[in-house]
Amino acid sequence: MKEEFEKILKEFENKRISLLQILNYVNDKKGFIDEKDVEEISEFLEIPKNEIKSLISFYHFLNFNKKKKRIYVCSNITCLLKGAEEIISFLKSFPEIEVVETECIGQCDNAPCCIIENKIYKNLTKEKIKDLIKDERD
Amino acid sequence: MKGIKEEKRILKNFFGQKERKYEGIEKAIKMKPEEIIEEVKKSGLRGRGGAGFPTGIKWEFLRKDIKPRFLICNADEGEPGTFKDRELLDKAPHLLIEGMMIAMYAIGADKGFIYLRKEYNYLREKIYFEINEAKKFFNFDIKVFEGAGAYICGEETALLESMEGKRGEPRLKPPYPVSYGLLGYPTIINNVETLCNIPIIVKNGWEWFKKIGTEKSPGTKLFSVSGSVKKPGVYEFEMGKITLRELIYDICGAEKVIGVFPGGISTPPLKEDELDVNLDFESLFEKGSSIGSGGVIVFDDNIPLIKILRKTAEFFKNESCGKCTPCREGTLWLWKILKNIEDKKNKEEGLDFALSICEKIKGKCFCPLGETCAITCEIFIKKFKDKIKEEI
Repeated sequence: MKEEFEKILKEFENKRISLLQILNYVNDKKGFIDEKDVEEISEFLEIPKNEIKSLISFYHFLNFNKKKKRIYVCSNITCLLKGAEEIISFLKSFPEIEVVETECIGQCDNAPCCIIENKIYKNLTKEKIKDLIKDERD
Repeated sequence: MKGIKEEKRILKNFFGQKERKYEGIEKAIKMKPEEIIEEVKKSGLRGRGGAGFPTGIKWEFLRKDIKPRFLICNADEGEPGTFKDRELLDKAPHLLIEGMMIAMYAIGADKGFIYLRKEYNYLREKIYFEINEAKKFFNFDIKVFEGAGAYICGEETALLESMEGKRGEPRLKPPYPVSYGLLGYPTIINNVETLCNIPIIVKNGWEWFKKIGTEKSPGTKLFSVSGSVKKPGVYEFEMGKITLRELIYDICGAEKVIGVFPGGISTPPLKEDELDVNLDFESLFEKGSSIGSGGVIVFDDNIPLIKILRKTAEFFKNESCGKCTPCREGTLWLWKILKNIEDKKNKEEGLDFALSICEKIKGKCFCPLGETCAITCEIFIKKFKDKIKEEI
């Protein structure tokens, strides 16, 4: 990971600007950020651990500690109009995933929609969700 | 992207330039930086992020005695119902890169950043591909900075805080970013659509641009239409040359309409009988609303209005950064009250109570987030009070 950190720092040439990019990198790679990562990043960028943890709690897509696989479902007005509530309650019936109701993800022309690991899934139906969960299980 | 009748279409603008021709930048580098700023100023181009501040004047305000200077493209398009920047990044990233190159040359910026929202991560590679294509011919430094999910980071000073590895909490203004921006250096922050207009203005000249649209709102505007319509999508029109009614009925095929948010949920909704309004900055302002980000959300009675109202408050409650009390507590209470009404508790005084909370938020917030929440919810309640009461 250190090598990647170096690469990001070299690209953005500034420790402060690199911080969020490094957190994004770790979070994308592992799906979460834990105490050890925070320590490592803190040491590498010389930024206090508390500050880093406060960032993680602020941004929606950063997770502290390992949780179940996260699925971000849009619950905003357009998606509500297109039946997001039903989709959300259906998703919640699968115990292996953590359903996070998020705000508009900019796919309103293809509502309802969700994000799993930076991938966008559009025009969700119960059928599509079943396939999606099946793929995840495999 | 789809358009309207041929004669109203500005194909030359976004649609005509499907390939990388770099005609704008080729012309720009033969000009002096001040001449480009003058050109943009005379064109009357106004920022497309929502506030509508004249772009040329913003560029002129940039402090010139300090180096380095930065240009940031605000691609943190978080306004619910808005996806026009996504379409530009997806279909015409070369226009953005060209616009950024011209802007950087004009303002003497050393570095450019694109603050890309995390939800658009899948467009990142496309943008980098375009940057590398342009690098074959031009020498510049643009990087993509990725957000991590926060609506408030679309506010320019919160965006700067976020880039500096802090929580996205807005800064006190002044000083404005033009004099004290990223890491304390002069910074220009422009919206994606604004920057995409730059190569076209430079290529065709300000006189050409000024002829499109209205006197005070020149050019075209992208509208992303969603909600209860048959054909949701991104549409481009001349400013002020089409009404909201035409857009949602004739073009997008709406059938039953109760109301419309004309520019995302930060703009007060319009009732069905108020739809005969031209789509430009001034006309919508006169109607007590705003063109906002161009995110038109059409709603019918498919779901209860109270649900839409509750969701509006909930959105601002979730996205409030927590820096100032009126916004943090106010949006929370507003949401709680509306949630209670939705759950059939406190039906009688609920709406009046909600209105009194709006009154207490208004004019007391640090940044526009809390402010818009109060105004949107207040107008929503006032306009649809009878209908909501019927429902509950």
